[in-house]
Amino acid sequence: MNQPSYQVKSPLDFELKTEDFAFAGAREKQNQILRPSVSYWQDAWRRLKKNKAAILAIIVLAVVVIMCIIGPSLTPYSHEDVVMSDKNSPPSAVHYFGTDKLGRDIFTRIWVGGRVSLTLGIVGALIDITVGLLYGGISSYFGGNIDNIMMRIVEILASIPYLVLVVLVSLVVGKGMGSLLIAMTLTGWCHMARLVRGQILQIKDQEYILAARALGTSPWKIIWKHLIPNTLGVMIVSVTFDIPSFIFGEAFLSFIGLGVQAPMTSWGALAAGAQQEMNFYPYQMFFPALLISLTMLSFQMLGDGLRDALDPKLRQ
Amino acid sequence: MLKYILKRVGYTLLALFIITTATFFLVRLIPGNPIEAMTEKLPDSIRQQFFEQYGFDKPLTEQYKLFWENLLTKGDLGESLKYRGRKVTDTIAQYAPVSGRLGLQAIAIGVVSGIILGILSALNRGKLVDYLVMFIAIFGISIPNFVIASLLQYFLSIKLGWFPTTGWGTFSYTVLPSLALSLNSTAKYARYMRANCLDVLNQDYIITAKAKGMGKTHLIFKHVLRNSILPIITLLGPQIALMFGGAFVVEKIFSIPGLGSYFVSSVSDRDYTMIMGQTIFMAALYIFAVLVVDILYGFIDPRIRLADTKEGGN
Repeated sequence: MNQPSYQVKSPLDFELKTEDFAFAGAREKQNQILRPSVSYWQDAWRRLKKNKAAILAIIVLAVVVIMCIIGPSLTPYSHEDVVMSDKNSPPSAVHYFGTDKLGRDIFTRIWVGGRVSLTLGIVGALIDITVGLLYGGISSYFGGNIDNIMMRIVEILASIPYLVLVVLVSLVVGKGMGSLLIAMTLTGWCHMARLVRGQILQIKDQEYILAARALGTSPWKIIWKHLIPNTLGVMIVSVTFDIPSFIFGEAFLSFIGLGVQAPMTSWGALAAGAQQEMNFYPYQMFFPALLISLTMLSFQMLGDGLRDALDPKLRQ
Repeated sequence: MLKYILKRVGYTLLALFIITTATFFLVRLIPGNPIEAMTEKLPDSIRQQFFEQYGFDKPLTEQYKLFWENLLTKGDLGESLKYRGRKVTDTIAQYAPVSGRLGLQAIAIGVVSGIILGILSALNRGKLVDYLVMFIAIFGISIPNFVIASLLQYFLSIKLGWFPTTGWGTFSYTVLPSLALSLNSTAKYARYMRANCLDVLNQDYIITAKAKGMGKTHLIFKHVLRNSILPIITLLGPQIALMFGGAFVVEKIFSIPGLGSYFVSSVSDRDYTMIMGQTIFMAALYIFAVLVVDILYGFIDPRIRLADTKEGGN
């Protein structure tokens, strides 16, 4: 502790005088380091703000989300309007991104498709983390044989090749957003469950949990005050990394004809449709590919930034 | 070690059994009963014959038993629904080598370039080379392989004419698809290798070696490389799985007669026996690949094995 005083005291001087216990005057208070205590989240936000790539990613994602909300109403066309006389026209002032082989406005379709792709990504990741939290939480909470059996089940489920299973399940449950979600989350939650379990097991043995327990803190309060806040960072990061995998999965399924069905569309469906015309009208491929790549890139960079900002191990 | 291997093999067999069973019942759960729809217009007698040939006239449990019997005794996965008389196993035998070659080339490119990029980036931490490699890596992860495949095809073969656009034959046909397939693994390996290298560079034995005056080249090749390359093996399993997914799309784009594009055609043809057979084949291949990788890793790095048996013993 810094002991600023007008009367410098020798550190070896142990003799206590009455003036040592006097109230601190204004002059002394000036020398104190006055910094408001920073909460975990404020600290994380401060670190994130320093990461230019992550901030750029947030801005890009915000623009994409806003455009998905207002984009379709910026044009006089609907995403289903077929104008055969105006097909395959290149980008122009009339059609910002051009039209496709049925004369549909690509600009409108991109943002309508974006709604589907982004919703799938976010809802899918949330389902993954919810199931993963419950499963991993129960498994690590009970421990012992229950934990053993539950984790073996996860191990076996996770050993099934993901995309092959997704194809098979979407054949059974049919096409459309709900079915896509079912197909992609069916085993997608497995890695989340492992992550949650690992995190909780790691934290459960920490000294501060032991201390809290020894002080008689209720289990509920330990979970709420210690376990959840300390795993939340890792969870948020893994959700950020999970979203692009759903966007990619949707694109993949659309590509092999199991995605969202026309006249509804998605980025994957747009890219898949444009791929067939790639040799003649490459601009049709350009915009959906750009949007998919840009969004996945942004989520990657945001995830990297969040991991650096939220990982307590890196805090000094 | 033997206990570890036996345990892993046991789980693998269980996983295989589960996925085969799941595939069998899932295919029969597909709504609208494709077999009924396919034979709707046929006269009753031919229809009956069709049903008998594929065993659909028997109850489900009987079919399931028969399926295992055929698979285990004859290695038979049935016959295509779309192309009568074409055996699923023959089709796999015909198309798998093409996909296998493509996948192996892609993995080789990915591993070699990923390792080199990762080391370069770790040794030049915080410098331009590092940023450049990480930039490439994050792009490789973010861009879907069908975009990469389309771009490569458009620019390098249609615009520049350096490589054939589609098809399969000489080595030049394999270049673009292998590159398109490998970019994602290059990126993953580069990132992973960089992290491993940085980790190893901070170890005490590296400081000791440096303090003893070891030359830089010797240090990098003898100590850093050897220790940071080991965990790379664990990535191989998931990478093989990724190859399957990528192969579906890349093979389709380049019209390569491989298992991936055939699987996609089977899906759009609703050729259910074919889908089932290929699913089982790919799942088995993947599960065995992961098993081999795990056991190999257990041999190479004893720490893994010890950790696993300790956990299992509890």
